[in-house]
Order: sequence, then structure tokens, then C-alpha cells
Amino acid sequence: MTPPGASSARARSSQLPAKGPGAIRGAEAQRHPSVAPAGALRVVGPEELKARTRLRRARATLAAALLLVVIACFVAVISHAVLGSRQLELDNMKASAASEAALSRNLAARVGQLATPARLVQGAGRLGMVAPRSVTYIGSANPSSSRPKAVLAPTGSARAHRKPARSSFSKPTKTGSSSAGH
Amino acid sequence: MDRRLGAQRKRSAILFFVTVIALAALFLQLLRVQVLDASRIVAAKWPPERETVVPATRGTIYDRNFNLLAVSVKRFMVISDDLNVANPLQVAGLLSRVLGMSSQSLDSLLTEPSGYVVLKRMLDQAQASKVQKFIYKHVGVLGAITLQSEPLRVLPNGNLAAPVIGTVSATSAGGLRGVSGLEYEYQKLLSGRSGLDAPQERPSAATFFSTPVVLRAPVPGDGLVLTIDDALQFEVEHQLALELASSGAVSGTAAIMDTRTGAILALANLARSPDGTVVEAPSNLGLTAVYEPGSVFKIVTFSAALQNHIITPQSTFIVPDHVVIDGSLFHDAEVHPTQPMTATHIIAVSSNVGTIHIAQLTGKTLISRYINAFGFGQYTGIGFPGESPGLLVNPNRWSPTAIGSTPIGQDDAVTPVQMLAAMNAVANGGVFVPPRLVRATVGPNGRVYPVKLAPARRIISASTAEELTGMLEKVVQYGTGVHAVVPGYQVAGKTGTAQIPLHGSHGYQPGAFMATFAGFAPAGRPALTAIVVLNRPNDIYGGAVSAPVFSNIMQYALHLFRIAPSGAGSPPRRIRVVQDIPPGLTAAGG
Repeated sequence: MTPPGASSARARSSQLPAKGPGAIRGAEAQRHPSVAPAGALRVVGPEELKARTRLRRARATLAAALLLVVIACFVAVISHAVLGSRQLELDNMKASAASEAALSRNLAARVGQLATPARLVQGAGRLGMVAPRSVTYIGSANPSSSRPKAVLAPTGSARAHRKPARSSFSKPTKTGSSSAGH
Repeated sequence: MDRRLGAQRKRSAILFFVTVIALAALFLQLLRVQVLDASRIVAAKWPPERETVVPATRGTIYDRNFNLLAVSVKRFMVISDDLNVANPLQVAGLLSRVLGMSSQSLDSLLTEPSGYVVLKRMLDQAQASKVQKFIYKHVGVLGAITLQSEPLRVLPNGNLAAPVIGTVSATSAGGLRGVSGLEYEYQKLLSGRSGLDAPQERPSAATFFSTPVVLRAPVPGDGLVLTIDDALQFEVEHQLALELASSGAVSGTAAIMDTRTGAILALANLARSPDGTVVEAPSNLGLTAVYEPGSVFKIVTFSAALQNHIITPQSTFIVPDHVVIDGSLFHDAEVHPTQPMTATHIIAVSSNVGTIHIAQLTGKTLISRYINAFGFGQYTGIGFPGESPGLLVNPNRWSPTAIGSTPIGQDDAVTPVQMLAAMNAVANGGVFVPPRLVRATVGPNGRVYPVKLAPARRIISASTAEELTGMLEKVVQYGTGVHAVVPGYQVAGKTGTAQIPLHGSHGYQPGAFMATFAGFAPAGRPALTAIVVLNRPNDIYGGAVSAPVFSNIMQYALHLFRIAPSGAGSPPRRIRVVQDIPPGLTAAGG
């Protein structure tokens, strides 16, 4: 069953250059601006519209996804390259830091050696510095003050201080072997 | 035109899709390597022969003021693979210029049938750099010569406090391991964790990056801050060395403790070498060697008697110069007539007979209890390898004569630090503070973590400690310890002269004595407690040889820590427990 008017429409359309439906519709519209071409135009159902829209969206989504993948790939590759170069830089910095830390420890050890009490005492001796023979304590005016009433005068090593005079205490003699004493 | 455009579009589309697919493949591979399989790849075993152990830097040991006592530095050694040295003579000639060694000695080293020969050791960073440049310059000839790092433990103060700090030895992995002293005790803390490196190479084993892959980064060891003060330690060792030289003692120990915290500020251990010179003792005698303390131990007997109200300082006894217990004769050091003596006088002149009489009144149960309370026969908790807890006779097995010998410091053996801690308990108002050698640790981030103080415990009441302190002051004022006086300060202390037991049999070595003086100052408000022990001095008495050393070191310490002389309303200044922290170190907890 051929619908009425279908053959004439086909005949009309066969005379037109095959440019697709849009072109037919454009030519018809030019020729008969007030009359809609019968058969060239038709009411498109919502289902068909949805399908086309879906197709368009799918294509756009695919294109966008591909674009994203490409961009992501580029970003990943660039990031990887940057990462590699930064890693190298980091390794160099770590090596440099380790070297500086080693140098720091060497210098700290050297400083430690230069600041030892033995060296300081030796240096002081070379400079002719001696410990005081005695220590003077200066009493406070207010003995009930909560602050220390006696302040130590600057002194040197106790080594140079005279040993306390031996008192009248006489050293006892050991008389037996089973006692400790003293 | 249209056809051409269509073809062009088609080609573009194909190119686009090929590019996209290639990039997608690359991306997927990247994703696999970097994310999906990353952990598996990282965990994959590297060829073991290519891995290199990177030893961690050993932690530094500081004194209480953060002065260095032991620090690890990197040194280098020059290694030769002799099996690959083509022309030893030429190599020796070249190397002699940069290593400062003779060509002959180098030539003999370079002709050994070994793939690993050490040509020179202990090059510092600058020397190593110079040698490395020289090797690169002459790589054609010196291809078999390499540099290898080796750790070195530097003690800036030389042997100062060496028996306390301890020693280290090199490990096969190129690190250091503590073998004695605190280096051994804190090995785990100081050693850190070694790392693992591997060269970055293609399957052909050609290295393409100069820096190796860090499979595991080394973690440096923590630092250790001791309670030792290096200046005080130096002075104490100096004074002890002088006394050892003049008294002819075989060895000696001297220690100073912060009365309130138990921190050991100096611990000197010296010995006389076979050639007569005074050197650092081979071990920390203060903690590892025991001896019969003699009369200094009488503070335990008097504490027990005072605390239990058996005597008062004024209690008077009729004291002969000798007493016989179960057939054994005990006598005083001096011959004297039977005379009345107060308890204070008995301890001041160190009367054995008077002390035995007080001990008999007190009883062995109480005396044993107080011996334990003062920490004898137990580890101090200081944390030192080889520490001795001392040797105590079980009170249940006391001989009939033990009531005569134990209260005067015979029979039981103690370490000098135990004796110091016991004296410190009296100084600290009757509160026993465990001695300690470590003040803090320093984490790899530079933060300082103070070590918690061990709990203190009261062993005698404050009033008993005060009474005993008053009695011990008399020891220095007119008794056996007059040479311990420190000008300007009140000093309390006790002498001890003890015979040395025979090895492997009963009895004592003739003419061999241990001379001790232990005391504290200022007596009114004690800040420092000290002990001096001399082994076999020619002048045998603690009051004659140890007390003067005590006087000198105590005077120095009091001045060093700016502790004012005691007196009415003159509290001593606190010892600076928290010192200025050097740059790079921060105190934990802000």
C-alpha cells in the first residue's frame, strides 16, 4: 500500500538535486513559501527526537571523554617527566644535605675538641692565668634577707686553692686487723 | 573538493584515534606502574648483590650542657681491587702523590692477591674529595681504586669519662656497635636504623643515574644527654689523678651527685697502669666494682637507731677501746681508756666499739631492714651494663659476730655509687633518690625528650636526717674528716677505712685498705653529695687521702654551680637542671 501522493512527491523530489532532506525542505520553501511541502516535512515523534538527542549526546560525551583522556594522558606524561626531573633534583639535594650534615658533624666535633676543658685549662696556663689562692665571701648588710647573704666572689679552679690546713687531728695508727675504723 | 575534504577528515580521525589509543595505552601503563602495581614493584626484591647497606649515623652523646662527649663523623678509606690493577708500579707512583705514602709501600699493597685491599684509612672529607678528583682525572689507570666511607666515633674530650661513655666497634655493615658503657646500654637508641640503596641501572647493568635508588632511607640514631658536666668531670678526674699519683693508690673512684634529683654530675674512674701512670680505669668502677665500705657504712646503723628512738645524738655510752663478740676482737683505731661518749662523738671519731654497742641495742632485724631501705644489695636502677647490686649477707644466716662486723661496714659489699646514693638520702632529708646518668634523649628531629625521674622514696624521717646531718657535721668539724672541710661552707660527711678481703678465703689482705669519704654540702641545705674511694693508698685512712680530694672537688663544684655558702636565710641556688638548648635542638613539649 502506497499512501496517496507518495509517488508525486517522490517524482518531485527526484527532480531536485540530491542534497539531503534539509536541501529539499529549503528548495520547497523557496518555491512555495506559503505552502508546506506535502511529504517533505513530517511531524517527528518525541521518541525519534529523543533517540537523535541521545545519539548527539553520546557522540558529544564520547568526544569529551576522548578529549579528557588525551588531556589526562598529556598531563600524566608531563607530570611524570616533571616528577622524574624533580626526583633527580631531590636526590641531588638529599646528597648535598647529607654531605653538609657530615661536614656539620665534622665541624661540631672540631669545635668540641677546641672547647674541651683540658684545652681551655692548657690555654689559660699558657696565658699565665692562675686560680686565686683564696676565696673572699662578701656578707650581706641584712642577714635576715631572704636573698643569699653571702655571695661567692669570682674564683678559679679549686685545684689551685690551698688545701685546708691539716688540723690538730692526729692520724691514728692501726692497731688491729679485724676492725674497720675511720 | 568534497571528496578530498572527506578523506582528510577520515585521515585526521584515524590519526586522532591512533594517537588517543597510543596515549591511552601509555596512560594505562603509567597507571599500572605508578598506582596499580606500585606496591608490588617497590616490594620486588632487587638483585641482592647490587644492594648497598647505608649505615645510619650513630646518635651523639652530650653532657648536661649539650657539650659533645661522643659524636660520629664520616671518614673514608681508599680501597684497591688488586686483581684488576694492570700496572701496580704506575698506580703506586700516581697514588703516592695524592695519598702521601711511599711508592714502595703502595706497590707492595697493590700486588696482594686480593680484590679488596685497604690502602689508606681515616681520610677526612676534604682529603677524600681530593683523592676522588684525582681518581676521576686518571680513571684510565686508577680504575680499580675506589673510596669507601667508614664511620668514626670522635670523643672531643679524649678519654674523659670514657668508662662511663663506653666504647664502640665497627660492624661488618659499616656501622658502629656499642660494646661497653652507655654506648652498649643505649645501643638500640643510638644506632638508629640502617638504610638500603641500589644503583639505578638498565638490564645491561649499566648505571644511568649517578644517584642510587633509596630502597630504605637510613634513620639516624637518637642523641643522649647525660647528667655529666664535662668541666666538673675534668676537674674531678684531675684531682683524683693527683691523689692517685701522690698516694700510690691502685685505682680510685670519685662521684658528685645533685642531691635533689640524683643526677650524677661527675663520675671519675681512674687506675694506675703497670708503668705507674694514671689512666682511665678499664671499667666503670663506681658501678661495677664492689668493696667493703668500712665506717662510712655506719650511717645506716645510726639511721636505724635514731629513727627508732633507740638513741639521740646526745645519748651517752661508756665506750672501751675494744670489745669481744663470740671470741672475736673488735677494737677502735685508736687506743683510748674506757670513757663516756655521746652518740655524736662516737660517729665523729668513728668508734667501732661505740657503734657496735648501738647496733646491739638496735638489733640485727632493724639494721638489716635499713640496709635494704638504703638500697644496698639492689640495683640502683641507673641503667648501666655490668652494674653490681652488691653483696649482702642474708640476715637469717648472720654469724654470731655479724652484729659486730656488719654495722661497722664489714661483711657486706657495696658499690661506690650505692654508698653515694645512701649518703645522698641523708642529705636529701631522708628521701632516697635513685641515681641517674641520663638526663634526656634527642630525637632525629632535634627535639629533646627529658627522661622521667625514677620515683623517690622516704627511708628515714626528715628529723632523723637532720639529726644525723648534725652528727656528720661534727665528723668534719673535729672528727676523722677534718680534711674534707670546704672554706666558707658547712660540710657533713663520713670517713671509711676498710680492709680488703682475701680472694677465695676468709680473712683480709694484710696492709690493703679502701679509703673512703662521702659527704655533702652545704650541710644546712644540701645541694651536692660526693664520694671519693681510693683502692690501696699508701696512707690508708679515708680521712687522710680521700677527704682532701672531696674538699677540692666539692669546692670546685659549689663554685661551678654558684651555690652560696650555707647560713641563716641563705638558701643555695638551684643547680641549673635545664640548660640552654643549642640551636637545632628544641625541648619537647614546647
